[in-house]
Parts: sequence; structure tokens; C-alpha cells
Amino acid sequence: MALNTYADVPLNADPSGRFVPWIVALMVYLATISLMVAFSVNSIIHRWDAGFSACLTVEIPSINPSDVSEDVDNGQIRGRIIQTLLKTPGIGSVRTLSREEILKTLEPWLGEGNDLSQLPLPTLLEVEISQRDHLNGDFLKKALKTILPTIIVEDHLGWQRSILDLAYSAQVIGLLIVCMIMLAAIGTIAFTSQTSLIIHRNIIEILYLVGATDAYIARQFQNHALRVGIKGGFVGFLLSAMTFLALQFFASHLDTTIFRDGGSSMTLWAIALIVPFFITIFMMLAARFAVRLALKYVI
Amino acid sequence: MLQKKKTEDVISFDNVSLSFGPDNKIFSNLDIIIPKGSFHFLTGPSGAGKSTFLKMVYLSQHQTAGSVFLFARNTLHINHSEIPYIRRKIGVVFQDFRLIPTLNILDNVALPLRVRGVETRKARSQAAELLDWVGLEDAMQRSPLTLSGGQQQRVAIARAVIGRPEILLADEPTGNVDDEIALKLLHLFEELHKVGTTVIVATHNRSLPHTFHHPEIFLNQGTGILIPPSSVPVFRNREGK
Repeated sequence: MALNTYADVPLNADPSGRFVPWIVALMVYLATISLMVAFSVNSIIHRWDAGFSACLTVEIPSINPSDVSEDVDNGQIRGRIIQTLLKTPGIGSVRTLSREEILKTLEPWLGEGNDLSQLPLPTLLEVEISQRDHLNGDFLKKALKTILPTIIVEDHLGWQRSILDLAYSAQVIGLLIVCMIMLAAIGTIAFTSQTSLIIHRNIIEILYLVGATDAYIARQFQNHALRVGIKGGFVGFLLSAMTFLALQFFASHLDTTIFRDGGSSMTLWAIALIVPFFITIFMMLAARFAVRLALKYVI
Repeated sequence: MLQKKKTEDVISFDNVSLSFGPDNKIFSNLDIIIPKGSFHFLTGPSGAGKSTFLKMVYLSQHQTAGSVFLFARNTLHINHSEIPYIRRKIGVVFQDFRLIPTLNILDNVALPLRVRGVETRKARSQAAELLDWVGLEDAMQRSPLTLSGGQQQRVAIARAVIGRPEILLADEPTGNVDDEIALKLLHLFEELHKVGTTVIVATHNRSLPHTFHHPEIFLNQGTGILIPPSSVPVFRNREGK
């Protein structure tokens, strides 16, 4: 589509549109930063999700005969617990920790070199979770408590899920903000175009009288929106690029990989370039659509 | 109706009435046929409906009753999307010129070609030739606001004819210019008429039809009378008034 070398409708001189490039620049900046944050949160979520321990610990205290109704020993109880665990959906494997391994975990509290042979220790089971989504932690705890009421299950699932939910919410809010900014940009240009159409009604009438089509008149506004989009988009890009570089600088001092690792850094630069492009395209389409609608029903 | 509608008639008013409210009748049962390639003067006192007649021809005003045929098409059956393409066959010189003040006169004249998709440079080149033809070759880059009424009139004429229209409508083209310029402008219209353009010139000056030996459509009190050059009226409205 050719950009007119001059405009028949003097939209550049409109007082109503004087600040639109700056508003667009601000919107591009906010949308870019919001999208960058949403993307960064997304990569953090994936990193956390993979990094969160994919296991839970089951502690079987030494059995007090009053705790169980049947006449059973430690070995039988442990066997039933392991069987229940292995039948539970989402659990991959169960391993019983050796006495040496348990003692090693206690070293920070009990110190090294002590004779702990007489110390009564619980049985610890390390349970590997194969499919986190399939595992119902509460249901598992209830099932194990029916076998041994004093059993302790450390599943970490609750707080991990809360953190992930929080992160996902932040990501969704970020994307919603981007959508709202896009809508605001589209609305701004649509209303500005319709206002300009009314301001320049006389010129529009002349254009009609010399044989201009609705499409020709709409193209005048569309090309103006393109120019405004390019101006605002460029300033918005510069602002977001400077912000991104500053964030990268601070991130390097905070010893975090956010904004800095190669893959996500490339994606964030791509976001900084793509957002102004898309906002400009949407603005052009919005101007064209708004003007054609107004020409049909208003003029 | 004394004349029969023929396919070569470019404009035909068939029993046309127009009113803006019950007390404001502009036309009543008007029958007028304008053949292709003719030259007519549209005369009448102020408020007789000369400008409104032209508006109906360039599709800015619809009648309240009857039919207007333009290029053998009923104007009421022309779609909104077709109007620009029909207007491109009609050049109009408006009484108030209707020039775009933010464009220089070269671009004002080039406008009808640009809206048709002609490349800007080519449109400007043709506009320059026409401005030369109307004697404004030295004012091409000037704003219309800096021109006199007569000069603006000539710009408006150049803009009206640049698209080689089949019909040229001029609303009081001599109203803002002195006699010498007026004569010059009318000779320009004569030149266009000679190459086959249908010309209608609305004017309050009833001596022009006699000077140029062209028929006159005299509008008065809602009726139209066709007066052949240097003759007596032969055309009346339906009531025979």
C-alpha cells in the first residue's frame, strides 16, 4: 500500500491529534514492558516447575501398639504403606532410606561422631512423583492415616502450587494489561479519526464531490494512523529498549538469570520490536474501520 | 412532455417535485430533458432552484417525487458505492468554488485524478497544463486563499474539467468575475462543448443564452421552461404553466 506523499485531509494539523503519537509511545512502552514481564514470569514458572522437588517424604514413626487396631509389626505396616503409595496415581517409585542416610540428615542437629546406635529412628520413605497433576495430596494423606494415624507426609505440594498459581496469575494479569493497552490504543485512534472526520467535514464533502470513494477517504486516515503509529512506536521502542537494558544491568548485579540468559534475552528483544509493529497495524485497521463506519452512518 | 426520452439523453427530469416542508416547494412536476453534447443555460431568479437543480444532477439531492435519470439510470436506484464513479463523469464548478485551502492550487486541480488512482506526478503534470490553459501558470504553488475570486473560479473550472467529464455543471461561474474574464470563461466552456461535453451553466444573467446562442432552461416558481436560442418558449411543465 503506497503511502501518500501528501494528504488531501490535513490530519497532521489537527489539534485533537497533536498528542496522539506521545500517547501511542506510552502505550507501546507499557505494553512492551508488560509483555516482557509476562514472558519473564512464564520462563520463571517453567524453571520453578521443573526445579521444584518432584518427590515427597513419608515418615513412619516407630509403632506404638495403641496406634493400630490390628496386631501388626513395623514391617507389615511399612509394606501396606508402600503398597498404598505405589497404587496411588501420579507416584512413580518408593524408596526406603537406609539408617545411615537418616543419620546423615540428622547430623546438623546431633553433630558428628556420636554413638547413635541406640537412638530410635523413624522409617523414612522417599516417594518419587511421576505426574504431579495426577497426584491428589490430600487424598493420599487420608489413605495413609487410615493405615497409621501418626504417619507424617511432607508433600511440599501445597505451597509449591500456591506459588505457581501466584506466578500464573501475575502472567495472566500482565497479558490482560497488554490487551487493555492494545484496546486503548485502538480506541484512541478510532475516536481521534472520527473527531477528525467531523472537523474536516467540508474537505470530505469536496472529496466526495470530485469522485472519491469511501475507501480513498478512509485511506487518508489509515495512512495518518500509520505515520502516528510509526512515530509513537519508535519512541515507545526506544523507551522500552532503554528500560530493558537497565533491567539487564541490574539483573547482572543481583546474580539472577532473568532478562539475561541468551534465549529469553532474544525473545524479549523480539517482543520490544513486535509490539510497536502490531500496535501500528491495529491502529491502521482501527482508523480505517472507524472512518468507513462513520462515512456510512455519520457523514 | 413535449420531448421523448432517448438513450442519448444524459439528464432527464421526469415529473420531478422537490419540497423542503409543505410551505417550501422548490419544483413541482418538472419535466426536462438534456441531450448528450448539448449546451444549456439554466436561468431564473434567486431562489428559483438553479443550484438545487444542479445538486440533483450531481447526486447531492434527491427529489421528493418523480424520477431523475442520469446516463439513462434512475438516480434513486444508484447505490451509495456507485455514486463516486458516476460523479467522476460530472465536473462541477461550484458557486463558492469549494477549493481545499490546505492544498496549493496545483494539488487542488489534480485532486479528481488522484481520487481515481492516477499517480501524483502524472496528475500534477496534467493539472499544470490546465492551469496554464486557464492562465494561472504562475500561481501553481499558491494557496487558494491568496487568490482573487476570479482566479479561484478558474482553478475551480480547471479542477472540474481535468477528469474529462461527460457533463460539466457550472453554478454562477461568471458571478465573481468581470465581464472580460466571464467571456473568457464561457469561451472555455464552449471549447469543452465542441469536444462533446454536455454543459449546463446556471446563471442569473439572461443575456448569456442570446449572446452564446444556446437554449435556456428558465426556472421560476417550481416550473421549468425550455427556451430555444433566440426564440419563444416551447416547453412547459405538466400543468402547462
